[in-house]
Amino acid sequence: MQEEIVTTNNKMIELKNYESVLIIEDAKSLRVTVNNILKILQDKPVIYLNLTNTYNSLMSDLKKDGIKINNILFIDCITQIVGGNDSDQENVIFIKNPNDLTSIGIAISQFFESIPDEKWLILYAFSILKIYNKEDTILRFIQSIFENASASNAKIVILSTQIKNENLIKKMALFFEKVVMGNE
Amino acid sequence: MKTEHMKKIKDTFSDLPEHWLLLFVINTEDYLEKNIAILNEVLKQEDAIVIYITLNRPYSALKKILEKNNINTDKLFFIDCITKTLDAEKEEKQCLFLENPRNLTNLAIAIDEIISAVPSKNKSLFVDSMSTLLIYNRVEMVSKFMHVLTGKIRVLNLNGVLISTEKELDPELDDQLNLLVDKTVDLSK
Repeated sequence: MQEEIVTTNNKMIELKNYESVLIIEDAKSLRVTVNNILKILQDKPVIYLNLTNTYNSLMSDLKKDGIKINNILFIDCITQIVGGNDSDQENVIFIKNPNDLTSIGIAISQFFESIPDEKWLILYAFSILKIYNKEDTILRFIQSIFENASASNAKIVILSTQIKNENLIKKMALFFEKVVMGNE
Repeated sequence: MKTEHMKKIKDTFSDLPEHWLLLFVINTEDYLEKNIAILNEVLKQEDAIVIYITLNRPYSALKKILEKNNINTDKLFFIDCITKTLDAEKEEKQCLFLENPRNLTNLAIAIDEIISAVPSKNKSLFVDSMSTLLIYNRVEMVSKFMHVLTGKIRVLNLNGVLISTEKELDPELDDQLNLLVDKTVDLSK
């Protein structure tokens, strides 16, 4: 098994030491970091919410990077919005719209409850949620995920870019055990 | 144009996955020259057909400029969001004329129509430019439009080039665009 250490711009994070990690860095680094994390966690159950990419496109990217996808449950919030094919797909939950945080929350809590052992939520490109939702709604959503994770012993990694004077990130950072600013 | 910028453009297109989505940040000084160089590289790809969304220049003017620069416009289809704002009624085989860049739903429908009408397997969307969309629309609307458009590009296995001018994007939209594309190429410095 690989060591649970992720490097983001010279900073090492030992994932196993934390219940929740917030990683903030530029978009280019973030793309590399998320795949590193998925590679490290590839033998563990992961629910992966990627807000920038469709399931099919992600699958081919991950396979190209040699990441096993058998243990990943994907949440895809894009395919249905653009009228893509959402039938006969395994390991994926399609959500109609990224503003449907209730459905996303239910999918995550069901995943948490269904697995008694160690499991992970990876949320990539957090700032995309702001396109569709108000800040307060997003914060409540994140808070409810933390409550569910705590009740089910699930671990959380959220990856986001840093926007200048971003209040939402500052407020959300308070929930996390570890915050890593990759580009400092 | 600086040699290093030309090299950056060529390098970007020499190392691409099967389907790709790129954001180019360009300075206003040599905007047109860089735009043409990028378009030229897209058209060099095998069986490439480009759907060019023009938000800055009317189709007729743009076509003349492209032909003057030896771009084969037979491989291009246009969505022109400018000509009709100038009250010119037009009909062209290679171009869809939209009322104005404010109606993003109509723009999305026009993109769908052209994409389904073009037979090539290698279709690329070329959006010129993101910054102009912001003149006509609120940033929240442009963010949503871009999220859906980039999703469409991925679902339909298209390629995409988004052009933006430096420092003209809202920082939040800029951040979101950087996340939505596969790669950002900064040609502004």
